[in-house]
Amino acid sequence: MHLRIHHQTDYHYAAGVSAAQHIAHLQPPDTPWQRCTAHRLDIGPLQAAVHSHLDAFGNHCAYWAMDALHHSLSVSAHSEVHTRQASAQDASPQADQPWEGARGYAQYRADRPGDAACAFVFASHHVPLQADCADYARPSFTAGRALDGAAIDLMQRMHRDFAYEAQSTDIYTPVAQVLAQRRGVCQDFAHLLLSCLRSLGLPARYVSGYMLSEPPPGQARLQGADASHAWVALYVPPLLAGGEGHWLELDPTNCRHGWGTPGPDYVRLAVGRDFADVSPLRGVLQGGEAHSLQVQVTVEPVFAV
Amino acid sequence: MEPLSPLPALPRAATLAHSAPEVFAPMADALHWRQIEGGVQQCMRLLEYTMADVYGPQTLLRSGLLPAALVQGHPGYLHAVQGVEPVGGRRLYVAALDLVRGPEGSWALRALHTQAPSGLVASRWSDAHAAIGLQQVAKAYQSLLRGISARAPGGGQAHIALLTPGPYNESYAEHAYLARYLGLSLAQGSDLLVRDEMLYLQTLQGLQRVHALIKWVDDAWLDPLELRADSTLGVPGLVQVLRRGHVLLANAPGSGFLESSALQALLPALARQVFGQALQLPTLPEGWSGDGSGGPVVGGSLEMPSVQWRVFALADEAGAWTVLPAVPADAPAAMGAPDAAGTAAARTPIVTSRAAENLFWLGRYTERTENTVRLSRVALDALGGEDQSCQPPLAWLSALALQHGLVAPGVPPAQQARRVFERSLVAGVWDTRHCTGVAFYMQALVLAASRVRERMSPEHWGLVMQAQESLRLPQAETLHDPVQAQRVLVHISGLLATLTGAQTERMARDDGWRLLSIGRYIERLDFLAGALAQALHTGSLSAQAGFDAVLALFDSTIRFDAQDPPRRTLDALLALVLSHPDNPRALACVLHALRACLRDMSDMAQGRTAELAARLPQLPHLPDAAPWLGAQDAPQLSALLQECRMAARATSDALNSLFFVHRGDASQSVGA
Repeated sequence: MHLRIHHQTDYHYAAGVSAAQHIAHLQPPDTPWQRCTAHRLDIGPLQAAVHSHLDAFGNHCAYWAMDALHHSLSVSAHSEVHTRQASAQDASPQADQPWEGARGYAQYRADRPGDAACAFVFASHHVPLQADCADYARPSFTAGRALDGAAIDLMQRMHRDFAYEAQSTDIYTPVAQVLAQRRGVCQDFAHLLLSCLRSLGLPARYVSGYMLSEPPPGQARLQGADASHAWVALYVPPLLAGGEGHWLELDPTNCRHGWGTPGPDYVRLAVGRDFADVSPLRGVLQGGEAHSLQVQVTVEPVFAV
Repeated sequence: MEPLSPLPALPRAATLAHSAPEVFAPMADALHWRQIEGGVQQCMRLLEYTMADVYGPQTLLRSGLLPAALVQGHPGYLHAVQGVEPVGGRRLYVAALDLVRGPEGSWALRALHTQAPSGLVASRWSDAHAAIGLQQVAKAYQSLLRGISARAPGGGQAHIALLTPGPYNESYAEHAYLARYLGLSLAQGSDLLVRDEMLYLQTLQGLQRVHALIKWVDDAWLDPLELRADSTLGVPGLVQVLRRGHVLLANAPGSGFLESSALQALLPALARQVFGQALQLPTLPEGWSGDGSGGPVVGGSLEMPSVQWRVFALADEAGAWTVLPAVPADAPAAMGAPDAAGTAAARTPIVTSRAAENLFWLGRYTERTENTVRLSRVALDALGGEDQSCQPPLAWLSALALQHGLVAPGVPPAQQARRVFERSLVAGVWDTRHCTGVAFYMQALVLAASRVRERMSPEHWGLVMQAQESLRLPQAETLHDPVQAQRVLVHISGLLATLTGAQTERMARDDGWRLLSIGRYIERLDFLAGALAQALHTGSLSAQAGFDAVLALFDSTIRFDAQDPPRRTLDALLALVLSHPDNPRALACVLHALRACLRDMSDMAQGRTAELAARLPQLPHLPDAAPWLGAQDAPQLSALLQECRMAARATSDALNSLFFVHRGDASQSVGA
C-alpha cells in the first residue's frame, strides 16, 4: 500500500516566546514492513535548522531551536510510506510456545547471552507493573497456553471490555484509572496492555504511528480528521538465546494484530517503552504563557495513475 | 575571581553545617593508603569501561555479564544519552567512594557517588592528609582541570564552570567553596542557556561560551527538554549540546546505574572478565542473586560497619585516577591551591548575570540595613529623650519610620501615641512579618549574600552569619524593651561596619564589585535625600533634636562636632551633609562616587553606564551653595533633593534592564 501522511501541529501562544527548543518523532522509519520514500519537515513561521539523530530505540528524532521572538509554531510533517502485509514468513516459529517460556527467557541468567528486547520488560513512566493489571490479564494467560493465543485473547478481551471515548482521559491518566473506568483512547489501551503484559513478566513495547481510516461509504475523506495512533508489540523470543526474536503487534483499540505490523494500513512512526519515549513533539519554551494546540493528521492512499 | 592562593580557612560550624555527612577519617597508614589507592584506581577504570560499554556497544549486556535489570531497569540509566559519544572520549572524572573497614582490617567499597559527588571539602584534617601529602591534593585538582580543559572543545582554552543546584541545596556551601578554590564560575541552571547547540553562561559581559561543566546536579534534572520535563535545575537543550560534542560534562550524564549496590556486587565478576584480574577493592554486599527476583541478595552479615570513610577519585591529565581524601577546609596556607591555569576563568574575571544582580542587591540591602539601624536608633533616642515638647522632629521621625516600614502599618504617629509607637518600633526591629525593619533587611542581605557566596572569603561569610545570629528573637519579656533593642542595634552597627569593611576591602574589585558599590550608593542617595527633604519640609531642623537627628542619619555627628572652629549653624549642617568633600555621606560625594563607578563600567553595554553617570544631578560646590543655605524650606533645595531620589531610582531601573533581565520569561514544557 502506498500511503501519504500529513501530520500538522499548530501552537498559538498567548504571549511571545523569546526562545524555544523542540524535539520531534515525526519521521517514519524503514522496517521490513514499510519503506519511507519521502519525508519533509516544515517548521514555521520562523525558520529553524533541523538536526536529526537516531535515538536509543532506533527512531528518527529531530531537534531544532528558535531564538527569535515568535507567537506561533507550525510543524508540518509530510511522509510517503509503502507498506506491506505481514506474510507467513514473518511469523515466529516459537509463537505457540507456552507463555511461561517467554517469561523465563526474559529473566536474567548469568550463563546466557542477554537479549536487548528484554529491556522492555521493566516498568516505565506510563507503564507501572501492578497486580491489578496482572489480574486482569491472567484469565487469558492460563497455564501452558500458547504465547500468541494468550496475547491475542487478552487484546480481544480488552477490545470487548473497554469503550473508546475521546477526551475521556489525558496523558496523565494512570492505567489503574483506565482499568477501573473501562474507557479511554488508543494511548491508554496501549499503556494498559503493556502494563498487563509486563506485569506478567513479558517484554513488550509501545508503538506510535498512523492508521488509514476508511471514510463512511459514499462520503469523501475528511482532511485532518485522522489522528496519530498507538498500539503495542509483544516480544516473542527465539527458542535459543542468541537466535532471532519476533514482535507480535497488537492493536487493542481496533482488535487487529499481525507479525511485525498489524496490517498494511498501519504506519509505524516510533517505538519505545511508552508514550514518553516517542511523543511526536516536545518542547521547552521561554515565555508563551497559555497556548492553544491543534493537531491534524491526514492519512490517504496514493493510487498509481 | 579573587586570587586563589593561599587556601582560605573555612569557619567550620557556620560554613559546613549542611555539607556531606561527616565521614570518619580513620587512621590510614601509608601501607593501607597504597592498597586503597590501587583498589580505587582499578575500580574506577572498571566503572569507566562499564559505562562506555553500556552507552556504546553493550557487549557486557549481550554477553550476559550485566543483567538488563541493573541497566535499563535502573532509573539511573538514561536512554537519552545512549550512543552519545562524549567529547574527550571519557565519561567519569570525579567520584566519591564510601569505604568500610572489614573485620580483617582491609577496606571494602560500600557506596559510590558519581552523579553529584559531595563531601569533597572536609571539615577537618585527617591522618590521610599526612599519608598522601597535602601538596598532592592541590596538584590532583590542578591536573583534573588541565585534563578537562585539554579534552573539552575550545582547544585547551576551555571555560570550565561548576553547575550547582543552587543555595537551597544541602551541598551549596561546598560548591561555593570549590568554585572559589578552583577559580571557576559557579553557575546554576538558570545562568546557562543553549544557543546554536552550544552552551553559554549569561554574564555581565554578555553570553560567554562554556566548554566544560563540572556538575553537582543529578542527571535526571539536567535537561527539561530530553530528561525530566519538570526540572528547573537544568538547562533546556543540554543533552543536544552534549550529543553534538560541544560541551564536556564531568561526569557525563547516565552514570546513576553505577551507583547501585547490586551493580557493585557484580564488579568482581566484571573485573575478571574485562581485565582478567581479581577486583582489589572488595565490594559489599557480596553476591547478587541475578535470578530476576529484582533485588540484591546479600550474603554474609550486614551489620553496620563501625568505620566508614569517603575518599575521592579524580581523573588526572593523562587519564589515570588520583585517589584523595577530601580537601581539608582548615588546611594551612602552605598547602597552596590549584590555579586554574589554562582555563578562561583564570584570565578574565567572569561575573554571571545572577551574581551581578545579587551583588547589586547585596550592596543595596547592606546599605538599607545600615540606614534602618541608624533610623531605628535615632527614633528610639528621640522617643526616649527628656525633651517631650519638641513636636516637629518627632513628627518627622515618626513619618520616616512609618514610610520605611519600621513600625507595623496602622500604628498611630508618635506625636499622638508616643508609647504605642515606641513599643511598635522596638518590636519592628525583630518583626519580619509586619515590618520591614532591621531583621527584615538583614534577612534580605543574608539571602543575597548566600547567592554570591563563592565570591566571599570565609571570614566575610562568617560575618554575615554573625549578623543574622544577632537578630535572633529575644525572650518575650525583653521583646518590647527599648533598652534591650538599643543594645542589639549598637551591636549590629558594629557588625555592619565590619561587614562593609569586608565588602570594601576584601572583595575582588571587578565589575561585580562595582555593582555592589553602585547598589550601596543608589540606596544611600535615595534614603538620605528623602530623609533630608522631609526634615526640611517638617521644619525639624530648627529644633535641636531634629538637627542632631539629621547629623546622626548622615553619620556625621563626630565630624560636625570636630569642626574647627565649631559652628553649630544650619549653614554648617547643610554644607556638611550636602557637599563637604570629606564626608562620604554628603550627597555630592555619594553622587561623585556613583558617577565614578558607572564610568568604570563603561566598557560594557555599549557605554550605556557612562550615559547614566552623565544623567546624575550635579550638586553645587560649597561656595556656590551659599544662596540656599539658611533658607530652610528653600524650594530649590527641595527640588534638588527630589531630583536626587528620582535619579537613584532611574539608575537602578536602567541597570536592571541593562544587565539583569536576560530572560524575564518563565520557562515551560509543552508536548503534543
